[in-house]
Amino acid sequence: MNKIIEVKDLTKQFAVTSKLGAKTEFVKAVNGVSFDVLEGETLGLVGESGCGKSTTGRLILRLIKPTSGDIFLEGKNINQISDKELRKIRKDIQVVFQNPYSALDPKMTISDILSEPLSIHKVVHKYQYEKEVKRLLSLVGLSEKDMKKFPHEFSGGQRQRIGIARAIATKPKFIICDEPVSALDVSVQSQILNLLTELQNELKVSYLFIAHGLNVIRHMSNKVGVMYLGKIVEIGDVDEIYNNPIHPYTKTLLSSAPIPDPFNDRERQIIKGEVPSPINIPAGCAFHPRCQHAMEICKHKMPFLKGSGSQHKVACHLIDYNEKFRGE
Amino acid sequence: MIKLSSIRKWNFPLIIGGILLFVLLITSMYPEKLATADPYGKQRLEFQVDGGKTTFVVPPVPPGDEYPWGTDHRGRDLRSLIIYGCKITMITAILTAIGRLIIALPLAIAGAYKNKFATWFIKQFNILFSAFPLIVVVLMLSNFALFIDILKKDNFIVVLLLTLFGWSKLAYVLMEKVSEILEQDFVEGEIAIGKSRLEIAVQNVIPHLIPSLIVFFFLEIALVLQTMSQIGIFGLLAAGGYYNADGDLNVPFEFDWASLLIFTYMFFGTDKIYLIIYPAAAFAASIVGFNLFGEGLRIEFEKRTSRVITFIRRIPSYVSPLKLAYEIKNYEQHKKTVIIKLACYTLVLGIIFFPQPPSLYKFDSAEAFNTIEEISGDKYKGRLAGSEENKALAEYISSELESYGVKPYDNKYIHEFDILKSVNVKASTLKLKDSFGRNKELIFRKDYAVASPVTFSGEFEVEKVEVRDLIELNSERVDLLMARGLHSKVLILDLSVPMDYRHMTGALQTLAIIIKPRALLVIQDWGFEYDAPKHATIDKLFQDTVVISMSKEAGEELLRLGEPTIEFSVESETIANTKGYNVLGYIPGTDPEYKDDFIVIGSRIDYVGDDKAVRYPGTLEAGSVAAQLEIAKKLAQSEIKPKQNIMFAFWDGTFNDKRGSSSFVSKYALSGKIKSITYFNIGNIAIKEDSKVLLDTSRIFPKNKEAQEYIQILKDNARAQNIDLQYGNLNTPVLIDMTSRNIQSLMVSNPEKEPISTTMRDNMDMLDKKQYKKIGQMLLDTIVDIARGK
Amino acid sequence: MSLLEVRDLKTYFYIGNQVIKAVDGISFSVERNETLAIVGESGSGKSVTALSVMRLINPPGKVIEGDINYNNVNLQKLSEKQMCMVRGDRVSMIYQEPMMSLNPAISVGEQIREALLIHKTVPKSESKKRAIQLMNFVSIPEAQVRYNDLPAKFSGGMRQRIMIAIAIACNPDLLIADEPTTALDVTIQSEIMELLRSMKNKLNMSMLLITHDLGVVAENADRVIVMYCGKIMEEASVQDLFRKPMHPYTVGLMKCIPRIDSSVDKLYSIPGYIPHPSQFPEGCRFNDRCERATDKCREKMPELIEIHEGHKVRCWQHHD
Repeated sequence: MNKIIEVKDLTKQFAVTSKLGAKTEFVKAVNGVSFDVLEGETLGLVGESGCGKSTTGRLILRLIKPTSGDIFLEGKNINQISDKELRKIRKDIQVVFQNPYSALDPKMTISDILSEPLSIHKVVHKYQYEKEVKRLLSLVGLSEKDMKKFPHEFSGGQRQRIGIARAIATKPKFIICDEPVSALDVSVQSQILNLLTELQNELKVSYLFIAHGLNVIRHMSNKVGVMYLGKIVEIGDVDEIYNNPIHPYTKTLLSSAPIPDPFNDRERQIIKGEVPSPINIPAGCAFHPRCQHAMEICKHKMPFLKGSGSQHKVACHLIDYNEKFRGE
Repeated sequence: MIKLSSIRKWNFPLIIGGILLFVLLITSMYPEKLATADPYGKQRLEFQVDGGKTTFVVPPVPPGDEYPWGTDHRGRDLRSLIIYGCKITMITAILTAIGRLIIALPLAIAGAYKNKFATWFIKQFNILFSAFPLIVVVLMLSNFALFIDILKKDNFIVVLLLTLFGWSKLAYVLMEKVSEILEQDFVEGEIAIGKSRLEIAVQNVIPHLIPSLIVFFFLEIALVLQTMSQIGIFGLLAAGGYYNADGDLNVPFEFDWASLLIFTYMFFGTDKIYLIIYPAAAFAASIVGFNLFGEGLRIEFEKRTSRVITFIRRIPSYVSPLKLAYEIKNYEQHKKTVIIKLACYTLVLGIIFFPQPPSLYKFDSAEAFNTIEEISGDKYKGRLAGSEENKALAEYISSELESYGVKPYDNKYIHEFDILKSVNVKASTLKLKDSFGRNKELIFRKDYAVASPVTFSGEFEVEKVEVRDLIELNSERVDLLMARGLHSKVLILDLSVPMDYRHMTGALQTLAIIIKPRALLVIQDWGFEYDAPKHATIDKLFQDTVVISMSKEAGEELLRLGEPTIEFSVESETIANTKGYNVLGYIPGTDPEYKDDFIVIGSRIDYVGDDKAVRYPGTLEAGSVAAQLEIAKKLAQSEIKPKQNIMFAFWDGTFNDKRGSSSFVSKYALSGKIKSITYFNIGNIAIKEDSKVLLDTSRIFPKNKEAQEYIQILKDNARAQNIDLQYGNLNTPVLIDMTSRNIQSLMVSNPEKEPISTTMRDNMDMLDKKQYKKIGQMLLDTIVDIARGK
Repeated sequence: MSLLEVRDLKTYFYIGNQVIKAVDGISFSVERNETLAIVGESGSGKSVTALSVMRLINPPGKVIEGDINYNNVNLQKLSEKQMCMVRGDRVSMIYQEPMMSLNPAISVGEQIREALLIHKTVPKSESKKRAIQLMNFVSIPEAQVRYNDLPAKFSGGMRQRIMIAIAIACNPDLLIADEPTTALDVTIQSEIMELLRSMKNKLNMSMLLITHDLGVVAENADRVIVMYCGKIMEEASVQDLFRKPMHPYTVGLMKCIPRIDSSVDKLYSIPGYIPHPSQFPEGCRFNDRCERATDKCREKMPELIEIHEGHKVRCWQHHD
């Protein structure tokens, strides 16, 4: 299977002027991220706030410009292309945004909203728009009666369906789902997740699924990457990671998530301290100030992603220096 | 029953603003239906005798029965002025608002997209104009002489200036608004589906902006009106009347409400406060109207999301003929839409091309052209007043009238009057000789014209005099002048350079009264390319001096010669102690109440006579006579019985001092035989150079309701004939006679870009036959309508 | 005697010409040392319930009916001044978004102190010391130094701790926590919940926990109320609720959440959407989404009836 998206050492730095205006500091929102997504596959990106997962999504979408690194769409480097070419490849890379209440132009009817991508990328002939819009609506579970309505006449879940319809309108190869269910009610979340899964099976599209809910990520992804302060600390097959997490941070994350089962008594992994500010990323391993198992080397040397099984990579010195940890 | 609670929900600003705007709209579109008087009619100084007591009415007249809002200082009815001025005031304000929007919007969008130039430009402009308000800028500009003439010529310039200097605040506000829109989340969605920045600006930003744009548009109009009213008080930028660089007083015609405020400064602190109150109230009402409407719209747009905007977005597809063609092809699916669209197209086209009802009586232009040919033909030899030919002409006209059935007035068609002297300059030669024996012959009426009709010949020394030597005299300087022996010479005076007209008059006076040379050669900048008018007179100052006007080019040639002499002769024909012949015919009125009331239609039949070798057909002049005859014919032969008497007057001797019209006025009007006259003068019509037809109504009192109706009838008929009827300042000696006796007069004529009348160009080639037919029809219809009592 | 007893509470909102029945007749009680969780989605009325108890409902909303008894005192009948003495002192509340509730211009220490002074818990001279104590209690490191810092200098989790400190400053009997962890990262979330649990034990405090997260409920609550469209659908102990959920809505809710410890191909989903508060269906409000709805469900609203001990449900399927 070929790689739809490949990301190599992607970095994004934001300049932040300090309060006095004198010093300019840099926030490394994304700090050397690499991964690939195969055809028909879903890569989940999970992490807490400030980890850079949303920024990564935006970088691939080229909504913001990377500071360094490369992005390949089906082998073609899309980092250094002209604006005009960029607009063309947007046909293949689409997005579903987090907030269904603000992602759609409130003054356009559904029909207009869905016709726009058709018209920009000439998906069908002008006079066929109406027919195609109806088809898209039925794909996402809405009726053609909804065509003339405005976004505010729909509930959050329905609006998200419209957002998804817009994303698939151009028959893209890759869709970035940026927290698509976080703003929705629980009973609606499952509907949307099912819809996304269904569409993936039908249209053979790949997803980058960004979320902070660990349970949602598990359900949706084939592979998952755990991010912390701009780096991927662990990446691999989803069942592997969830059943055998290796990185201390991953372990903590998994044990912190509340489980809806009052009879479940599990061991909690505690971490000390707070997530540091992305301006002052600790030297060496970014996680070391909060890690129970931190060693001397962790304070000075940054670990790289290494595979401890072909599909399971971790960025942690423990797997080198502590036999006990391997395979645990 | 309307519930009290639901009234609270009504959008009052929108309703009240809407009502005010509707009133303004109606006033702009149909001023003639609302105003009682023509806005240019002037109430002149008038004496009223009321049982032994004499009062006089002098403008500005305070509000009263006849003038509900009073008159301005020139005597024009204030209420009519304001009503008629509504349209141009509104158009000026609206065009300015549109202009500002056109400049502001792209700059605002560019600025919101963080374009450096746009943001800088907007910011700088704003700073500049908060320090220097618009009024001050205009004040500064108006001091540059170069600008004065341009500024005050046209309201278009007002629009331009107010736009160019006033767009920045709007741009700033819009820029904020666009930035706000761009910050919304959905914009990212639009970028993500692949839209370019321009596409997002047009397809997403502008629809979001439209509610604000519409609101700002109306509020901007209110702001412009405010600025206009302020500028009006300062007397800038508006057509109120001013002295231009040559020292002439220009009183342009077009007015708006701002110009009504100009001369009010003279009346501050007097009891003439109404002069300010009414125009100010008009401004206030319109400003409030636009403000309220804008606010009301803002409230309305914030209420719900607009079907309006989707509708606006769809408009191109609704009116697209391509789409209609597609729908017709797929008729089965789009039955309803196609039918509706076709119905709409038919309705619109029908309204535009709706046919006019035909005129009752057809103006027979072929007949008229025959008459013109007859009158301007060789037979009458240029129609010089006092000649035998003119008597024959009068007889011809009266026999025509008789054949139509028009009654003779006072039992006779032909009314004789005395003419002391009638002169015709028939030929002249002028040769320039210099001391080296070089000769130059000048062509009469091409290089020079004779301004005093005498018979004269000889060879003379020429000497040039300077204007500055002739003015500001004291006894010493006079002696100096006399010592030069100018009395026996032919003097050259160069008046072709720009100078203070007072200096010019002074110089001429000195020459006429003190020096009295044999002849005076005045070099003037004629400013036109064709022949000089035959009827050129420079001044009545000179008794025995022959005055010759020379073109600038010829004058320069003359001055280049060293110590020239001139040899020149003038041959003129003088008829002394002769008679002029007016022709007066009328159709009696049927209403005894109007026994002594006359509507008089007049044109001049005499002309300047032919030169020895050159014909002056005076076709255009003849045109008015022919038109009048045609009107008389059709009216007399119709069955119509007019209420008041309608007289057709053909004036003789109008190029002389003792005019036929003046004789008529003293004989019949002064004596009281005729109580009231409304006079309608037909001037030169259908000149090829200009399709505008001018109407001068300034000599009709606004309070004269009947005459105002006649004016309205004329305007309606002009519209029916598709004639571009405009107001103008027209003059003719006949009008002067009429006006001097307070007879209310109207005149219709074509303007002349360069002098045509009394030149050889006044011939059949210059007559626009199609236009003549239209104007003739318009006049005929007007008189017919008046006679029918419409 | 329960600590807090609510009977037939109805809070309606009047917007335009619509009546939004946010809370439409609910009754519950909170015992001493107990954590009662109110769980529901948007439009269920859970937050409005909390605000009604605190008498923080402002127009266009109004508590039109119901008794709210705290320690046998009817809170509805108190004057505003008296209510102020109750708020913060006896009954406290913490909110979802800590940054919104803290004054950005005053140091955190001062804000804690303010709570102490208003309710005259300690004399003024002692108040600063007590405030620092509280900060330690909620595990804010270097409390002495950070006393003077402004809220902006703290992370989200820290701010939530500060808010908790303010809330418990006067040792209230009841703490109302409205979605206290929804805005926090999951690692911080677990710490905060841990803190609240320990607070409850050390201070003998009861807690009314409002959340939409069943995981949080499972790990923290003693008893649970499930609300839907302004009404209570099910009430039970936390064990009973998860072991044997009765109401179809509760069942559906539990089934449709993806699990972190197992995976399925297709998630269960409750069909349809939560109705708009102005357009509740006739009869049982869940009937248009319920797989087991009958005609009776569509006509008549069932009563909340106790089926087993301590386990109430509002459903026709269980009434026979």
